[in-house]
Amino acid sequence: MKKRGFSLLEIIIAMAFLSVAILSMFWMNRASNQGSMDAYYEFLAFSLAREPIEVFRGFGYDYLKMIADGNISPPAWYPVGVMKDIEFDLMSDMQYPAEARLFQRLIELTPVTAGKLKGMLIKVTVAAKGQSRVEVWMSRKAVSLESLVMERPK
Amino acid sequence: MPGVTGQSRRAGVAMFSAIFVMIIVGLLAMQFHYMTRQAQSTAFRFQTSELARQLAASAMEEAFMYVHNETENPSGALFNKLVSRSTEIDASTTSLDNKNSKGTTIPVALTLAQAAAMPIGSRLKIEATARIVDFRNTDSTGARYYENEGVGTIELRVTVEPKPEFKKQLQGACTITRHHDYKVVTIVSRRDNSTQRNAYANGFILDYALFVRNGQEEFETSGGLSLNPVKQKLSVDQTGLSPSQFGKIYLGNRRNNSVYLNIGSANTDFIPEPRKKEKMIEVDDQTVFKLLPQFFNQVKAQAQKIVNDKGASLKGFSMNGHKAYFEYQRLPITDEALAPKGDLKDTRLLTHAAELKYKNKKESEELFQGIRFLPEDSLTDILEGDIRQRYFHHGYFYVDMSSCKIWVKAKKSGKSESETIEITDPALINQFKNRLIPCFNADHIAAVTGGSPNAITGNSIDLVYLNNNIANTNSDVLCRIDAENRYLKGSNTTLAHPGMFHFRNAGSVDDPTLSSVPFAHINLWARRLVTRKQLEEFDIYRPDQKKLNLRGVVELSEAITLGETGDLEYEGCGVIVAPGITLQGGLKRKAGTDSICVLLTRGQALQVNTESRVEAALVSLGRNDRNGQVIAGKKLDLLGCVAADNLNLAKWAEGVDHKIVYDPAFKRNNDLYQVNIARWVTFERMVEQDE
Repeated sequence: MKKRGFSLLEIIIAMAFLSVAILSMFWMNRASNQGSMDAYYEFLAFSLAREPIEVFRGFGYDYLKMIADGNISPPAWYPVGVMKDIEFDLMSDMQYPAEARLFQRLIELTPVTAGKLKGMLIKVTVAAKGQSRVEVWMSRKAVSLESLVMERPK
Repeated sequence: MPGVTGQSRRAGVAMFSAIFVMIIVGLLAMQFHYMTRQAQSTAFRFQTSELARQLAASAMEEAFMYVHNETENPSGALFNKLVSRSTEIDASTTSLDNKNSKGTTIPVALTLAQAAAMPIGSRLKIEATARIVDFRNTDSTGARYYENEGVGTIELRVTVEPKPEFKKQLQGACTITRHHDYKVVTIVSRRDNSTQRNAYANGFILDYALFVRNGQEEFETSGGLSLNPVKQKLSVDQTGLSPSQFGKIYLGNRRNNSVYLNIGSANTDFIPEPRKKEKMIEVDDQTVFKLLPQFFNQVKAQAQKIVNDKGASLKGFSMNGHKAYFEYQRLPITDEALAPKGDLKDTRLLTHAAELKYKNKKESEELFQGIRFLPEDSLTDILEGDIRQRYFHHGYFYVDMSSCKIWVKAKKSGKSESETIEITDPALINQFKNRLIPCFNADHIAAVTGGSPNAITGNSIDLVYLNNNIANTNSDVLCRIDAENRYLKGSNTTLAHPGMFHFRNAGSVDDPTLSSVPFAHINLWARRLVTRKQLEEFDIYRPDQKKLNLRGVVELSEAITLGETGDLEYEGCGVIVAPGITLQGGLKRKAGTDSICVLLTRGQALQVNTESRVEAALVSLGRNDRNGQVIAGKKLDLLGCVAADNLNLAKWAEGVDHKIVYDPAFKRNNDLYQVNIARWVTFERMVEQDE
């Protein structure tokens, strides 16, 4: 008895269906991967942006004013006015996640006033370092976070 | 089954297996994709939530500072809502369920501007509210604070949430609630000048232009010098003020115990009439002979000689054409030009002689005028307590014999008729030409001079005869220091005693030395026991800028010197309490403001070493030892008031005119409060939604 095989057309159609299905899954997988990494790095970037804001809030207005006026230098980990790489140093007192070194951070202090109120606007921008994998994965080039620190009674 | 081979069955299985695997892989891929979407959504929510949290934190900072700044201004809307505890924001007595229905909106312009600049932030609604959640108007002993004074808690609440049109897209939201304690204290409490206070008020002392708590005691122990100093001059001037604005003057006398101010020539108007000579009693020639023993003896000697020459006997004397009567006038007690005539040319000796009734002293130390109160026509509206004036009642015997003729009656033996012979001795007559002989109480002078009634006047006049025959029925013929009249021009109205309260809460007391101290509610003080250095750190005192920033009551733990860099300008309303204050420079309120400055020590000296204008209340009243004193080391130019346990004018600079001008800002028809909000957070709750 002669065996009956698949015709070429059947095979081609089957392969087409299979290709669409597999490609769709690959696309979905890639998109998912991209989204996950984007979310992860954005989360990390936001955390890195939040950190100096919380620290600077603790410094208080007067100290920030002195930094903004150039009367004193900010702590070494929190340079103001320059986009600087976040260092990853196991020996440092300030420890960050290993992937934090893939980012750079800009801290800006801007005095603001409204009537008798005086405040300091802290803006922190965190961006991926050039030619790092974060640059590939993160959809936005940079994230930023702002907060106000008001002059308080002494 | 016929027609189905084993191979075709295997092909079918493979197909199903492939499809199954594909489905499984597809499901996993979809699940992975779903999880990824979830992760992205979570990351987005985290960002939104973090943004909301940062905005809420910013808004909370701004809201606090707004409330802090607005409550600095006593005429501000929020200040008044807080002080009066308006129903709009007072949730202190409402149930927990209804607390959120109260509150006033706090603007947060900076935060809104910050949010508007951010893509997501512009989709968020930011609101801040403030409400009173607790208020206590009694202290720990249960004593009620004055009027609206008290300690409370203000709740600030900031809510950041998506605007309604973005609620489906954004789910991050944050609500921060914070509590700050605050204090409401009066700096100036209203006072109706026509009535007395009926309860303790922190700032009661500012009712007074001059308040001397131990004035009576100090007056007595200083022999009256405390109010009548030898070398110091002080005027308390309220000229130009209306009676409702007058600062009261109280010199610490207890009821029915007066203190006395000597009347000088500048206050002659105070002295009741007659200020000029008032003729009282004319006396005949025989009384003149009795009153003037020296004259009588000389007349008698000459008469005897005449009758002896004629071989006759002396039958008597007579006199006509003379002038002899008693007069009195009322004179300033401290006028250096007083009566440099008559038998007593030394004014001080004259007044001293009259004063012997009061004091057994050789030198009259207290006959000086140191203090003046102006305007004198309004003293009934200014004085409290019993202050009396002292002036000199100058009683004297006036005799002028320049036109008189003295006759001696002689009778020769054997003759029935007497002969009248004139004594013509110009020297005898001239010594009593236009004489003015002061009259004193013989008993007083004898008592202090060791038995000689005429020790002061010599034998010019027989004080014993005078006292027994004339002064016994008319005492006005005698010199005296008159201290019967109240220190009021043209009026002898009885003045009210001030309402005094024992400590800060109990009932009234009559004895001023027991009265309470001002600003006694220490738990209403804004700061306690700060150092001089901290005073500068807190921006309260900025010697480099020559500024004082006042708000509420601040207590120092150490003595302080103010104005060492020059005259100071102050802004705000407040009290500086310190264990010793030295003012080296002037002190002026900022122009155009209603600022109030009170410098207060608790019994330690408050020294003013400047001639520059000082616009402040200077208060030195002790809590326990009560030895407080204000000392002007240089000429005092004060717009304000002085309150002290002891006036101690003897320590003030000599030879200058110290001047206190009462500041009408201390006399208000409404209370001037200050609100001090603590920067400390006593409670905080943060609710983040959909993080």
